Amino acid sequence: MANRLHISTRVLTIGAVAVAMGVGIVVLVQILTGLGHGPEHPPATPMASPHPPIPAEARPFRPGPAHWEVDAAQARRHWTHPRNLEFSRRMRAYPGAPPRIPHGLTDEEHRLGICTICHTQGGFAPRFGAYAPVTPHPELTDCLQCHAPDARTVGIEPGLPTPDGTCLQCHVDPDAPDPSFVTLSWVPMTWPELDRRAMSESPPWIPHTLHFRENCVACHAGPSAVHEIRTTHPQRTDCRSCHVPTRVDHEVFPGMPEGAGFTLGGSR
Amino acid sequence: MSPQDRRAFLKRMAMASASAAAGALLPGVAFGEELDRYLGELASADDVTWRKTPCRFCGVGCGLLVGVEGGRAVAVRGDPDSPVNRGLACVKGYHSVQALYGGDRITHARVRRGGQLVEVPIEEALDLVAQRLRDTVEEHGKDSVALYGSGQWTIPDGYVASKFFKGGLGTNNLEANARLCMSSAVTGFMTTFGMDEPMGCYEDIDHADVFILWGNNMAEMHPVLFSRMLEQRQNRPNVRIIDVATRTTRTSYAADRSLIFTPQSDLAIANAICHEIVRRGWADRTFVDRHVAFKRGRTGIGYGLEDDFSFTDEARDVTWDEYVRFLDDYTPERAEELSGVPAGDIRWLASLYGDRSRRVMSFWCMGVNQHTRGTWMNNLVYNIHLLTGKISTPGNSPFSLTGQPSACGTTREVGTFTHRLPGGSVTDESARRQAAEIWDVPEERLDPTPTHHTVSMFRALDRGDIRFMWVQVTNPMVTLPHLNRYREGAEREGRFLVVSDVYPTPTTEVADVVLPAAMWIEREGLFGNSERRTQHFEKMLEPPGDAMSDGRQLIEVARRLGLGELFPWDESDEIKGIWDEYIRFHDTPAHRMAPLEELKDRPGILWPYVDGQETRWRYNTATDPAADPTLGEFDFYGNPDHRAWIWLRPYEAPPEWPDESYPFWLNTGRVLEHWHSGSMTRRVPTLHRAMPEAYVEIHRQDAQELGIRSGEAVRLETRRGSITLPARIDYRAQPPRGQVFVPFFDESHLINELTLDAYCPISSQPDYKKCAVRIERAGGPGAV
Amino acid sequence: MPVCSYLVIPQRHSADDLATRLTELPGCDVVAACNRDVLLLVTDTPGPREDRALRERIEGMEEVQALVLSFGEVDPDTGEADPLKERRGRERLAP
Repeated sequence: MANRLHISTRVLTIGAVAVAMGVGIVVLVQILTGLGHGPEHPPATPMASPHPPIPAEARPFRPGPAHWEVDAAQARRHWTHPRNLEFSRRMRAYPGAPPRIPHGLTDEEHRLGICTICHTQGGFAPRFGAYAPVTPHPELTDCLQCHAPDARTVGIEPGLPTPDGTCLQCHVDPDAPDPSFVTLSWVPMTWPELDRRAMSESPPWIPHTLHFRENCVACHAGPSAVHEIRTTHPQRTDCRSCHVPTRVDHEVFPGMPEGAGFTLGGSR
Repeated sequence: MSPQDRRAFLKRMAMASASAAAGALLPGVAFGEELDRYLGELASADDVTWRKTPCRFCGVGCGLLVGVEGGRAVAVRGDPDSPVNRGLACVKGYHSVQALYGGDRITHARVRRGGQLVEVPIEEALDLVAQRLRDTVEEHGKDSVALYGSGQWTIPDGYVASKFFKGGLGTNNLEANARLCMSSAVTGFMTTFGMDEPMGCYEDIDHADVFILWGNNMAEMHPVLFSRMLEQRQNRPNVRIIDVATRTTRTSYAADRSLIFTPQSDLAIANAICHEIVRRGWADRTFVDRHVAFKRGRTGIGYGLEDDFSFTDEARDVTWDEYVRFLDDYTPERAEELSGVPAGDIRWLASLYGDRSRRVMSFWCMGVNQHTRGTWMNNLVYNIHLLTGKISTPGNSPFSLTGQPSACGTTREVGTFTHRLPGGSVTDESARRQAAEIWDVPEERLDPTPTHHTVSMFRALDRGDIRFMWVQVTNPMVTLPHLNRYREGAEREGRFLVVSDVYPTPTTEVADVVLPAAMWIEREGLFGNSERRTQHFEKMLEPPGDAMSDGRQLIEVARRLGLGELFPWDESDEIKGIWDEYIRFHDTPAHRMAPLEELKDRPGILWPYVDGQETRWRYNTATDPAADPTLGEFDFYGNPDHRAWIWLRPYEAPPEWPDESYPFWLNTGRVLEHWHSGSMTRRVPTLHRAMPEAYVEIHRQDAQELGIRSGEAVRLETRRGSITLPARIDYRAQPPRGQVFVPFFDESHLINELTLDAYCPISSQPDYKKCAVRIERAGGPGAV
Repeated sequence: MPVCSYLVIPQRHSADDLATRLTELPGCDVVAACNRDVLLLVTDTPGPREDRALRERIEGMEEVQALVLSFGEVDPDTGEADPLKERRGRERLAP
């Protein structure tokens, strides 16, 4: 009977559905965003922005720089600061909030907001003994507009050790009580459940919106990825051919008509 | 889970999966309520509901989606549907909802007894306010009571305030802190165009080739619009951003060019740009001949430092030739002498404005408005755009930004100023008649004479001409210039101060009654942003304790005074009732507002909203339904001659200038993380940690000469007071030599005790950007 | 006790008829799209044999143009074989 199902021209199998869904979403996203792989215009004069334009929808399908594929074991050898989910959540006021800057800034960095030097391409930063996470939205260049540092770590020169031997560039406890601050009774939205999926072996759903986070590999691949959410197969950069958002609607895909779309088991 | 439940759950999962597959295969497919019903519990497992609101903070008016779960706000997203921000917010917006949950939130009324504020039931506090208000009016007359609000009032709150004080009590003692923030922008618009608010909209950003920012640190103060500009520059290589300012900021670093000028000399630079445009023949004479008139006003107009100061301008007709002769004084070389900006750079700026192939947008905010010649400076920017005909078309846009979420919507459009009624000036008989008719009050009750603008109002409180003052949604004991005088005034014997707020502030500290206010999305309301966009938000959360909206507090007191018939609405349909009544004031093609039902559904609507169409470019006869197409491409219908006016506004020196005793310029302003007086944003951990304390920014060489190192305590002294705070060198921004900058958000370092209460005689807006200060090492490290 | 879901693509102009016919079958829930000719079908059958029979019956309907399997699960409480497992074993389906 399974055979009959298999050969039936009128029935598609799960695999075909998954592929079809992926293609559908790719097409959908391209239609909705109206962005293709247009030519990149070189800056006309030296006065133009130092940042070349990046077509937003080209990103998910672009393989990352070679060093993203650093063997995890090798990466861990230089890696004094592995990033984990608990830390990543502690940096955010709620799921989806822009993370705080967990390291110090020199006065110059604080003034100029030149974060993109490290965070566009990623790579190993000896100053912090860590791999720089890659921004999922390199088109937004006014980084400090959303990402706030801790004033206690601003203006500290790199590598300046304290008497106890730690480095003030990072090691100011971000959760240390602040006597000048009143209490806040804040309960954030529940953090999304990881690894939700339709069936036991099917690809997990995407538990967050994709706005400013269309580039999956920025956060889910490479040596700086938070290890709980790191993909096992970074070579397959067409992530959304298999992984679908728990919600597909105009919020997740701006431009999609309001009212259209669907939800898979809630938007968490 | 029982087998039956599990089975039901599986079936819903199966249905959800099928709908997901359908959605992926067939973009746009919709299943409607039938599917929602089927998914039932599954859908409701998602307990977070997302609802739209404009941001609580600045005047950009970003659309936010607030996630609400279990009666509490739990998350924020930028609203991708909002044409303002397209899904992006700034660090304040993303953390805005946390400001609702500070541990010291005022939840109950407090009344001063024996010098202490003690908690009382809200009814008792409202009774006391009503009784003191009545007694004061009976004893000292209607003009001995005053109401002082802000550009953070929602539109309905501001409308209730105006109706209560002007239509009910019959006094014009109604002002708002927007006077301190953008009244020069208003008088600039009124004198040039005869009508308030920008002709263009944010969409201009997508069309402009050149952005010239006049004293406007947009990277920190209007970050979302700044990012929109940066995005344009990434996408279009011909885009240029030019920063014209008095200090080097994040905006300067991001700009293509930054020109630093001596404070006050922007007047000379703007005139020199016009000089160059005229001399080079870049003026659009056809536009000028058809649509522009030239006016000369009074000069040597003073600074409002005297208690009895008053000023009335006059407009005298002049010709093009007289204007050109006036400009003779402003060669780029002369402007260079005054400003320190090289004449070549001024010529280059003029060439950008003058190049017919480039669309130019000018932005400004407090640098131009908080200026003893603020109205003039607004006029001068319009002069440049009018001379070149670069106005009211996509991308050609002189754009005055605002700092508060409803400075435009409430204070300007409702008109919560001493001289205004919702439909016009109190001095205008037809505006009074209209108000009397809509409010159903005798016309005689509406006083035709304006009383006090903000600074004058607090001076009157100090003198005792005003005895009762009610302050809502603002914090004057942090934000008034020359603060010491006005705090002493408020604390004098025989003054009664009522303060409605959400947190304890230096203003609640001197209050006799503190009323707990509902904040932002704890009540239904509307804000109006800088681009004429009106945005509705619904009540998403219950206010804590006895807190109620500012408008409701006013209505409760009005009822106790027997003025209840002015506010006949039930609490449930109050906002709808107020909106429907209010928009009758604007029911002309030049200002028609959208109905509430449409505002509820959409991420804001631009007025004039005529026949279901927003007006993106006013005065352009192709896009503005109020403009008369027989007059050609443009109709500046705000003025009786249907022309925009170019004003001959000279350079005049500021009232206080660095001298031997006070050798530095003192400039004040905001920082990215904190909004206004910081009473909300300082309760948000991310924002507080990033910017915990005010500081004084000093140029490295000045600091070296004074022996000051970064982090050390520095004493600042002006003729009005002194404070001590930590020095910062090459920190967030860099002032030029001879200037220092201090942000005003920090209530423990009140820089406004030092600022000067000089103001623009036309707008009555004080100048917080310029006074003379002495600085010295205070010894020992500052608390950093 | 298998639960499966399908996208059902009807033959042209027969969506309404098909929806009615499917709804009448035992253990079938149908939701029709508002703006496209596509139906969502959830089937709930007592066992693998009934599941197969039902599927064959639906495939045989003349109004059905295509049947796209989207979801399949066996209630573990019953301990029955997963109707999909057999197929999964033979085909490499999802990555």
